[in-house]
Amino acid sequence: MEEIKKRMLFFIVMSCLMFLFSIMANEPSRWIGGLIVLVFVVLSIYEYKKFRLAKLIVDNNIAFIENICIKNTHRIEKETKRIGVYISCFGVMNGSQIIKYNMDGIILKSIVIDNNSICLTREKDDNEIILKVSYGCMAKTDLLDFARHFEYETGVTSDMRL
Amino acid sequence: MKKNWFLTDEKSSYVLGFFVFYSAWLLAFPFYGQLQMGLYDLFESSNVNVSLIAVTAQFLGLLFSGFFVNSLKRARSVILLTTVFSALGTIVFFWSYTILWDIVLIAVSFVAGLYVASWGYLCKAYTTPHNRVVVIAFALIYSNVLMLLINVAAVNISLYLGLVFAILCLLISLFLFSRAPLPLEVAPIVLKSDPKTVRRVIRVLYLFIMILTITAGLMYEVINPMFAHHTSFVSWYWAVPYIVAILFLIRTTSKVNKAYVLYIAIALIGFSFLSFMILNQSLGSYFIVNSMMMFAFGVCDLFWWSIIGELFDYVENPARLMGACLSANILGIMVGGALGRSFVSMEWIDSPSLVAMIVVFLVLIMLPFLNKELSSVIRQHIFLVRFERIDHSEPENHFVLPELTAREIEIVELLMTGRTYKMIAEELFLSENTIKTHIKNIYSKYEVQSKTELIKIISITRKG
Repeated sequence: MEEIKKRMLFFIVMSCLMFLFSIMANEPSRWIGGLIVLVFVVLSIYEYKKFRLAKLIVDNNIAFIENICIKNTHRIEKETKRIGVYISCFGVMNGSQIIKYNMDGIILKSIVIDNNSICLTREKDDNEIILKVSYGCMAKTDLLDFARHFEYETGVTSDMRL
Repeated sequence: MKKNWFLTDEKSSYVLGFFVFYSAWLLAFPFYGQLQMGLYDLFESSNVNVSLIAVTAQFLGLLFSGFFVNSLKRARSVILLTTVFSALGTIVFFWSYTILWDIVLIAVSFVAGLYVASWGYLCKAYTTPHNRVVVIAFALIYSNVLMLLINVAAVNISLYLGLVFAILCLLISLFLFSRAPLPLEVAPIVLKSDPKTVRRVIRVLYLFIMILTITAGLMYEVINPMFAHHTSFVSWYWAVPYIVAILFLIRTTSKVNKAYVLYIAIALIGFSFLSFMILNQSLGSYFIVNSMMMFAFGVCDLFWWSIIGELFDYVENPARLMGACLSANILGIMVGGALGRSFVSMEWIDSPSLVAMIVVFLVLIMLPFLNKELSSVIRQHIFLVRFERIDHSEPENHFVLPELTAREIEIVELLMTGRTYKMIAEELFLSENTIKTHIKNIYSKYEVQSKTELIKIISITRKG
């Protein structure tokens, strides 16, 4: 989510800078600058929408599967950064990559939980996509809780193949 | 049916979307566009010959595209490359006039012809015979609306602003094209018909379009210049009757016989030229002449574009069909334009109207023959049948309760008690955005647009 936020801020800043450039420049550079401003504004709006979706996923997080944990012990303020996959009732997010479902006409068809992974099948306009998330060492009780919570939120019953 | 801006399914919306934005640029700029004329006038250079060569280039692009655009993959490649080329070419016009302008204008006109013909392939792949007419109708409406916006900006604010909008349209077209889902390969000919008969029908249609659009050429070269001094009004009103005509056709019920509307439209072309002959060059005269003429062209355009769309299912190469038929359109405009220019140069003021009368007479004689030929291939005339199907799409009486999730049921229960989204969010310890997303899903499942409709429907189903 942080990456999306940074990109959004970058595009907003670039829009402002190009806008200032356009005001100060002469024709025809002014118009080209204006065109570039419009492009950056559009990109900003696109990233903002992505950011909102990311926030929705994080706010409605059902499971967070951590795959990298970075601990910085050398700085004054010790920090731990956890990178992983968020699985929520509205989509799956890994870093800045988001795959949404259960909204905007994208239907979540099924969910299969086996010994290694959680498999989600989503469908849009007869186009099926299968997402496979490896969960590593999640306990069975956690998986059952996840399945129960997931069914509550999405109405899709998990096919448990543990 | 999922509701969206284009009132078609999402797949068709994409093919409609990128074409609409490209067409807006095409109509506002290379194809007798006000933006093009304004830019050339700004540098006091004449674009009469260049316009003619550009239109010829577009004609050639349309005519020959069918010979090498013979697959969906190639059509997609052509659309991508032509859009990029058009955008890059248009940027040249930000600088002062040089010979490069003329070269670029001719080049982008040629590629525009390739684009439009290639779109035929995607139109067939992304649409079904049932929604094709609606897609085509909205393509014509929205592209003209956008063109008007570009013209208004160009004429009333700044030509360069119009140019920016035009390039933006191309970029949006490119974006929508990149987002479009990959369709299945174009199906082979679905409806069997004798190929010779189909070719004969296409030839008759070609001739019909070519003859009728001579009047459009006369409009561009004779009528439009006569009223060009009403710049502000012309910039926004020019295509309004055209848009109204198409909207009228897709919104009216089957009680309105569309075949008669076509006859009336052709007659209106004649009346508009007669009015042009009688009236002066005032704003009121322009309003009368333009309203009749552009309304008529709207009806005629939808007629032959929808026929072309219908014929996609009878030919192997939709690009060739699209290119050939629309090249007839351009050829007619070129012939009419050439006639118009010669009449103007010789100061034969009444001759354009006389030619228009002859054209209208010929076309009215041809129309029953064309209908007969079309009926030999297409079971029922598309201009009547398709709109009837659209008009009679009444909702079914029975209502099936959609399946809500446990969370959605919880939210609906709270909504029925009159709580606001914020209150529901606080009660369920969720964010307001989450509640809004769930509500949107619920609306979609119940096929409603507002809280009031949802509460009404749930109350009725509970009583039932």
